[in-house]
Amino acid sequence: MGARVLIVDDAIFMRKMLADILQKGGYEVCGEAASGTEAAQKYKEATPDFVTMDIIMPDMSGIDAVKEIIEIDPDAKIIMVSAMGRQSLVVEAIQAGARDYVVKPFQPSRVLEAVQRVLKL
Amino acid sequence: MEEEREEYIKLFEEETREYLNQLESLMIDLEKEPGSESIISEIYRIFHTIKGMAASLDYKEIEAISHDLEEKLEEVKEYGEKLGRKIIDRIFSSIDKIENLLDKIRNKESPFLKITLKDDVKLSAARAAVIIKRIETMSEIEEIKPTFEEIKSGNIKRTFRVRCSNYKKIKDLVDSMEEVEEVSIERKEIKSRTLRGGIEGIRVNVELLDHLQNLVGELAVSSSRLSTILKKFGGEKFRRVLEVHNRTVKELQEIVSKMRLVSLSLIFNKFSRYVRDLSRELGKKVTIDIFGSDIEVDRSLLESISDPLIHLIRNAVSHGIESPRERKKLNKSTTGKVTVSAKRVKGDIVIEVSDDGIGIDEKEVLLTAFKKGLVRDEELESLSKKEILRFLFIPGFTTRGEVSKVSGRGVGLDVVKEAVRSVGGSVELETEKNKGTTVTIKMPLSMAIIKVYLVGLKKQLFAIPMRFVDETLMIPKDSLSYLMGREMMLLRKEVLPVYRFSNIMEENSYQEENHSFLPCVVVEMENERFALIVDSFRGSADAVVKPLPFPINNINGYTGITIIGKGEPCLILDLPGLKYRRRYENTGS
Repeated sequence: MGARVLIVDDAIFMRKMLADILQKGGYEVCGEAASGTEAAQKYKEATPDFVTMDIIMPDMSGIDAVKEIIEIDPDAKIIMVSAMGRQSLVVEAIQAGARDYVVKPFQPSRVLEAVQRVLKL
Repeated sequence: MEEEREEYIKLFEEETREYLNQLESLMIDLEKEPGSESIISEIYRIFHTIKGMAASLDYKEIEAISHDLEEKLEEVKEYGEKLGRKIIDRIFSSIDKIENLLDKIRNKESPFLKITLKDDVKLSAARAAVIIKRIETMSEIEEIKPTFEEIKSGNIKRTFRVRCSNYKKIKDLVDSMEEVEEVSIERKEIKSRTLRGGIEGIRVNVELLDHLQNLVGELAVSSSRLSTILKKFGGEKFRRVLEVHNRTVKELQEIVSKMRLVSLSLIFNKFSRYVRDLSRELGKKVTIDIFGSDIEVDRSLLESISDPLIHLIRNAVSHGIESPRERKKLNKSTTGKVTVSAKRVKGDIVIEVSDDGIGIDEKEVLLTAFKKGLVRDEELESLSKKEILRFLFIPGFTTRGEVSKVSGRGVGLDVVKEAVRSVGGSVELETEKNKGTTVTIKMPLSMAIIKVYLVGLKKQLFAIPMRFVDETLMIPKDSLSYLMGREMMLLRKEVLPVYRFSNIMEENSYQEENHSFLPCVVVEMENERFALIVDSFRGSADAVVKPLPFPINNINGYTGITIIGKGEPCLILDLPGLKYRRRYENTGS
């Protein structure tokens, strides 16, 4: 049984795409969230092994969501998902405790590499 | 410079720690004797000292802490303010703070890791942040370049640097990261000189280096002995093996002598300061130009020429350069100029120290020489300027009392010459009245192995450093003649003075009686050419120079000893030394 992932993204399209990539890579999607507030909630419920987190979302930004999740679980393994040009936000998220990041548009291999890396930590 | 600074830091650290210990015991004393003026003064003095040292090394924090307390204590001392609990607490906490800062200075050894990301990494700042965060979980980060804030604002290309504890493990960790192209350890302070080719060096004990050089020297000697054996017995296999062996030894010799090279800047850098201080002291205006300080020489050479050079510069500034008023009178710029320049000429290094000062009047020199009985009446007219100036190098020729007579300069030139000669070099002096003086030091770059020309006298072998040998030839006995009381010979329209080696060595030569052709070495040194008649030519050789053992190290005329071919010891001639010995004898001093 592969590790379990919580996918956080406001776009259904992106969630679907990520879910496909991760499932093909042998991981189990244990939850999805469409906003930062929802993310923290779902994290508590689903206790995933790792999280993919979109950086710009309505209501609560990905960074704040990272902070909240880290508060719940300092060991949380969060991978940021970002478009190019959002560099400073990603750095901020990493400062807040995210472990790695992937850049849209995805290359499936890159995503899976990042997951493997984060899970090894 | 770097090395000096490190030395200072070490001293500073040791001394400050000692002071901190003293402070602690003084504080205990103070508790027993509250308000004791002498104890407070002592504490005040210590902080003042620490402040001064810290300031000169630019340790701002330590400086500020000590300065603060110094001021507080001054108030206590001067205005009788009470030394209350508050100040005492502050002294204690300052001691701790300074101690911590000292620890930091000591530990700043950890080097930077230079991390280069692959060029296809997206959002390199974010990647850098991930890596830094990762490092943070395993070590303590001391410094990041660019800073995290700068990284956040995207101010990063592919390379960044992290200084952290546990850096070797961290390097392995970062090395294993996929996005990382390269990690290297980068020392902030390069501790040792860089060998040619840009390889970072290591510190080596000088004694070990000397020892290594000696051993390589022995190896070279046995190589040449093996070659002699080969010539005698032959053997194709032996020849081939020996060829490879000799090549290796030669390469080894080259490497060892390269290892011993240090930059002249180590001593040249001190000159400007020296000239500035000295000229100010003497009320003169002097500037100094320095050239060629990047040239590298054997470190033993550097040691032996350091004092002579300082001496020459001192002569130039104090005796050569005139006072601003005198210079004005002579229509010269009021500011005098001293130039020190080094250059490489073939296997030699040539260092010139020149000034645009008053120069030396050779007539005065001749007069002094005459009074001292160094010149015979009949020589008064025939001596050339060069020959006259050479008197300046005779020990004790110029003394302080006579400085003004010979227009300064020249003081202690004998000492300079001696020092330079001891490393196989020579000194020349050129001067022109009111124009200035130039002293030229010429010496081999490395004194470990020199090329020599071997000559025989009776059954003994002597080695003449190749740098003095211009040519060797057989001359017909009847080409020698006497001119103005000197033996001379004519060589391609040039008249050369002739010296007979046998005379110099006080030996009888059998060659001279029995043959109509004489082996003759044309020697060129110190701007002078002469012919030296020997008994036989024995070819050239690479000589590993060894210092003369006691007691013969005091005999004039030899620079060292070497072992040739079959293991025969052979003295290396110090030609300038020999000639002066002879000159003395001739002039009856």
